[in-house]
Amino acid sequence: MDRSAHPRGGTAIATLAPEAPAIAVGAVAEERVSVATQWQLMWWRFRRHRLAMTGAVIVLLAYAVVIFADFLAYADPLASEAQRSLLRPQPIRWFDEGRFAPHVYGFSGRRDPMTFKRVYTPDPAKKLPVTLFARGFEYRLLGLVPTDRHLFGVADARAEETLFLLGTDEQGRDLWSRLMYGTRTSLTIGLVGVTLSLVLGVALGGVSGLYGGTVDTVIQRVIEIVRSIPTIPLWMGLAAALPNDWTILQVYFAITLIISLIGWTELARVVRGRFLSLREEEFIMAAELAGSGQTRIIVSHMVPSFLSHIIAATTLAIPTMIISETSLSFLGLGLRPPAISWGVLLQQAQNIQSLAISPWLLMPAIPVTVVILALNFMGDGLRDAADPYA
Amino acid sequence: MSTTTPADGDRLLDVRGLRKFFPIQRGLLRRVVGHVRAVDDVSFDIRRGQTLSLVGESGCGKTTTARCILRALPPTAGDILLQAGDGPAVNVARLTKRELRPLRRRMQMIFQDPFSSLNPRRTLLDIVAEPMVANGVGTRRDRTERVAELLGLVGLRPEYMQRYPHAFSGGQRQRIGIARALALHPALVVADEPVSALDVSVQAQILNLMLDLQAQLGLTYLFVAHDLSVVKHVSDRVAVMYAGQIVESAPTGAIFTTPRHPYTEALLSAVPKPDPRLKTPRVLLEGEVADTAQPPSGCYFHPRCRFAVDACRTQAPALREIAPDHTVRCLRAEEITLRGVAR
Amino acid sequence: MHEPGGGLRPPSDGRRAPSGALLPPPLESEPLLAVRDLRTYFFQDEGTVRAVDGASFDVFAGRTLGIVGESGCGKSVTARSILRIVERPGRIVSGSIVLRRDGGAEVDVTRLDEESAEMRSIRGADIGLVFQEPMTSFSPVHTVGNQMVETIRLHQGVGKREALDRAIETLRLVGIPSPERRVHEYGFQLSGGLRQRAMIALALSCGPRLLIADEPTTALDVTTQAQILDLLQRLQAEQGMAIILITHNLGVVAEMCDEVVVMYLGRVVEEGSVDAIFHAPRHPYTRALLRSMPSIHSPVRTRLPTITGSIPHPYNRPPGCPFHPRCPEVIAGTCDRGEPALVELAPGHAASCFLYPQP
Repeated sequence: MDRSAHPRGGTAIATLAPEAPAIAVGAVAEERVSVATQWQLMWWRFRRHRLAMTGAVIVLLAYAVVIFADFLAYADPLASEAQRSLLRPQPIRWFDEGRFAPHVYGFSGRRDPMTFKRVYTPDPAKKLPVTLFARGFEYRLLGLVPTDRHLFGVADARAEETLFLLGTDEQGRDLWSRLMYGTRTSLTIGLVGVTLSLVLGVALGGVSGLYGGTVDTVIQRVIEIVRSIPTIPLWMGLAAALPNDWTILQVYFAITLIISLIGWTELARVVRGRFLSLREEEFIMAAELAGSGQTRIIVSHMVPSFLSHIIAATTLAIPTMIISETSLSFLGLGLRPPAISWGVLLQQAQNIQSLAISPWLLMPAIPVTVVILALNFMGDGLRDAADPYA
Repeated sequence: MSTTTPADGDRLLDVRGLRKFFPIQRGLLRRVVGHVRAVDDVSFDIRRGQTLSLVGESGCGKTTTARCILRALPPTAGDILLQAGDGPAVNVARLTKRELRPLRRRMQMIFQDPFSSLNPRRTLLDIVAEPMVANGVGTRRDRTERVAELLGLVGLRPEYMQRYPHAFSGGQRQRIGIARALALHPALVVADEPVSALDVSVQAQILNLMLDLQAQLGLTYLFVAHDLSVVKHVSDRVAVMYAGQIVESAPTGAIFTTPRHPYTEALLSAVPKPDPRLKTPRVLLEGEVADTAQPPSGCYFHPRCRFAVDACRTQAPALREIAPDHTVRCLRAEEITLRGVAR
Repeated sequence: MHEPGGGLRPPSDGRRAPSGALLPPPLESEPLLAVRDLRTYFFQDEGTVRAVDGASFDVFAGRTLGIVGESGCGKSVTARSILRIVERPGRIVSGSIVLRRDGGAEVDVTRLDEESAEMRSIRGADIGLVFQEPMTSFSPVHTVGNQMVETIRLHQGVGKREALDRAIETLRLVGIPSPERRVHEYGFQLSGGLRQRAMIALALSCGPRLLIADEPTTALDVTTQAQILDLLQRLQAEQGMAIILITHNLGVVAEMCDEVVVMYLGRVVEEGSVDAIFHAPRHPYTRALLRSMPSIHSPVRTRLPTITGSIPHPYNRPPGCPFHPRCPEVIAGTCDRGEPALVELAPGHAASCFLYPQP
C-alpha cells in the first residue's frame, strides 16, 4: 500500500467538525470540550437531532405509562359489565355554564322498543364531575403502596356512571384503562426480549469478532440460517406448540423467549463488526505492546469503544420486539385474554363490526405507531451520535 | 526457550536473518498457494544510544520488520537479539508470549498516525499511564507523578492530563504517543514513520524533541521512514530496503554522499530539491516496485536497474562489505559510479 | 494532433532551453484565471470558519502556479472555490474568479450558479481537477474507461467508439503501458502510480486549459512522485496548459512551479516567482517555513529551527494578523490589531506583513 495521505493533522477539533458539539469561541468553551468524555460528546451530538429528541421524549412518556399504568387508569380493566358494552368514547366537557368544571354526561338506559335490548345514550341531564386524584379500584402503586387513588376519574362512580374516555369494548370494559395496562405489557416485553437478545448477541458476536477463524465462520453461518427462516411461520409454529394450560405469565415469558431468539442476530453482527474494526486500531496494538493482557484490552479498550454502538443497536431492536409481540397477539398466537397487550386489544377489533360501528376499538393502533416511530427516531439519533470521533 | 549469545555490550539490538512470510490463500478451502515475502533475510545491528533508520518505499518491508522486532507479529525465521540490561542478550524471536511480557518494558513503539494510536475515550493520564498499569508498576500517586513528569518531558503541560485526545493537534498527539512510549524507561524505541502524518513545521518540532530525548535519556532508536530528508536529521546509520531486503547499509553521511546501490541513488535523486536553482537531472526509475509475492529472479532490483547485466538476472547478490562499515547488495557495486548529494 | 476545441491541445511551439528541455510558451499578457480577493467562509453552528480570507493571484497559460501552506491554510478550499464545488455549509461570500474561456470570452465563475449548464461545461472542459487520493476518485463499480468516456461524451458530444479511442489516446499520453487493456480495468486494479496517472488522464480527457492538481503526489512513494511530476511537466510543455499545483511540500514547489502563493489560515501571506520565494522570502512565515524544512542537503543529525506554537484552531483565529502569535518578528500593538494588506514589494513579488509599509 502506498503511504498514507497528507495530514488531517495540525488542527485540533477539526476532526470533530462539522458535527462538533456546540462550542463557543474562547478558552473556557475549549476547556469544556477538551475534558468532555465520550458520553458528553454523544449527548451534545444527540441533542442537535431534533427528531431524535422528540422521539426520546415520547419514549420517556411511554415508559412513564408503564410504571404508572394503574395510576393512569381509572377503571378495572378486567371488570366486564355487559350493560356497558360498546359505548362510544365520551368527550370531557370542560365548561359548565361558563364555569370551568370538567364533566361528562352520564348514560341513561332505555329499552329499545324494537329489539327489547337496553340501549345506553349520553344524557345531558346527568352531569358527572371529573376530578383529579379520584378514588377508584384498588391497586398497589409501584407494586408497593396500596392505594385507590387514580390520576383522574369520576368521584364515587357507579357502574354506569363513570368515565369512558375511549369507549368500551364488547364486554363493557373501559378501553382507556385497558390501553394503559396494554402499554405496560407490550413495552416490557420489548425490554425483556431485548435484554435476552443483547446477552446472546454480545456474547456470540464478541467471540466471533475477537477470535475469528473457524469459530467466526461457524457462528456467522448459524446467524445466516436463523435469519433466513421466515419469521411469522416460525413464530406460528413455536406459539402453537405452547401448551394450552400454561398461565399467562408462562406464556408471556415463552413469547419473549421466542422473539428474542431471532432478534439476537442483528446485535451479534453489530458487535462482531465493531470488534473486527477495533482489532486493527493502532491504540489496541499500542496497548498490547505496553504489555496489557487480552482481558484488559477487551475490558478497558474495546468495550468502551463499542458500548455506544450497542446502545444504539439495542434501541433499534426494541421496536422489532414490540411489533413482533403485537403481530403475534393480533394473530391470536401470542398473548391471549385475559392478558392485555396492544396486540390483544387489536385482536378484539378484528372484525367488520368494529370498523363499521365501533371504530374506537382501533385506537390502540395509534400508540403502537407513535411509540414505534419514536423509538426508531431515537435509535437513529443514537446511532448517528454513537461515534463522536468518527 | 531463549537462545543466548555472548554479550556484546555495545550492541543493543542485533537482528540476524529475519524473515516474515505471509501465506497467500486461495479457494474455498483456503489452500496456501504461495507466500508474500514481506521481510526476506534482513540483518542489522544498532549500537546503544544510536539511531538506525530503515528507509524504503511502500511494500519494502520496513514496517513489517519493525513490528517483528517488537513481536507485534511473529517472525517466520531469524533471530532478534536484544540486550535487555546486564546479562546475556535475549532472543526475542524465540520467546513465548509469557516470556515476552517482562521484556516489553525494554522496547516500545511510536506510531505513525497520531489520530488512531491514542484511544479517544481515555484521558491523557490513562493513556500515558497504561504501560505502568499493565505492568503493575507503582501506586496511583506514583503513576500520576510520572505522567506529569513525562508530559513535561515532551513539552506538554501536566494539567493536560485530564483532557482527551480530541482536544489536541496532530503534533501534540504525537508527543503524547512519545510520552507513552517512554513511560517504562525503554532502552529501544521503534519509531514507525513518526512524522509523516504531520505538517512541515510540526515535523521539525517532533524531530528536535526526539533528538533531545535521545541525548537526555540515552535512547536507542530504530527509525522507520520513507522520507530521506527526515532520515538525514536523526540517523547515525541508514539501511535502505527494497522488496523485503536490505540493499545498502552505511553511516548516514556515506549513504547520502556516496551511495553504492542504484536504488539508493534513484531514491536520493527522486527527492525534490527545495531550491529552484538546483535543477539536476533525475534518475527516473522505470516500472513498478517488485511484487514480493513473486519477486524477480536473481537481484530483485534488476528489472528497474540501468546497470543490470545478464548476471544480475540469474545470481542473487548477498549483502557484502564494500567499504568499512558500508555494505551493499549488488554484483556490480565496484564497477559502477553513482551520484550522491553534495554534502 | 486533434484540432483545437476538440480533444487534446496542439503542442507548444517547441522552444527549447539550452539543456534541451522544452520551455513553457511565452507569457501571455492576459491571465487565464484571475482570482481577486476571494473569500470563502463556512457557516457552522459553532462559528464561522474563514477558510479563504482574501486570496488574489493570477494563473497564466503554460505556467505552473504553486499554492503552498500547511493544514487549515485554505489551499484546497481555494481550488474547490474555483471549480464551485465547495460543500455546504461553505459559500463564496465575496471576490471574483475570472476565467478566460476559449475564444476570449471572460466569465466570472463566482457569479454563475453552481449547478448551471455553463459551470458544468467549465468543469472538465476548461478546468480539470486531479485529486489527492486516486483511490476515492475512481468509482469502484465503473472501469477507468467508463468514467473517461462519460466525461468525453458529455463535453465533446462524440459517439462511444470515438470517445473510447480518445480515452485510450489520453491513457497512452500519460504513460500507461498497454492502454487498450487498461482502459477496461477498474481503479482498484491499478497500482498507486498508475492510478494517479489514470486520474490525470481523466482530468485531461477533454483537453482543459487549466489543470488543478490538489496534492497529486502526497499519497505516493517518492520515486513514483518523481515520475508523476515529470509527467506533469512534460504534459504542460506539450499541451500548453496552465497548472495550479497545491501542495505542502516545498521541494515539489521548487521543482515544478514558476510562481508561488504561500497561504496561512486562509490568507495569502506572500506570492511571487519561485526564485524570489526561495531565495528572497519576505514574510516571516515563509522564512520560518523554509528554515524548518528537513532537507537532504543539511548536515547529518542537525536540529531544525522550528516555528513556535502550532496552527491555531479555525474557530480560535487570532485577532489581527493570523500569524502574529508565532511570529519571531512580531510588532506588539500593531500585528494584533489590524490585518496587513498584500503589498507589492518588487515587480511580481508581494507580501502581507506589517514589516513593510502598508497602503
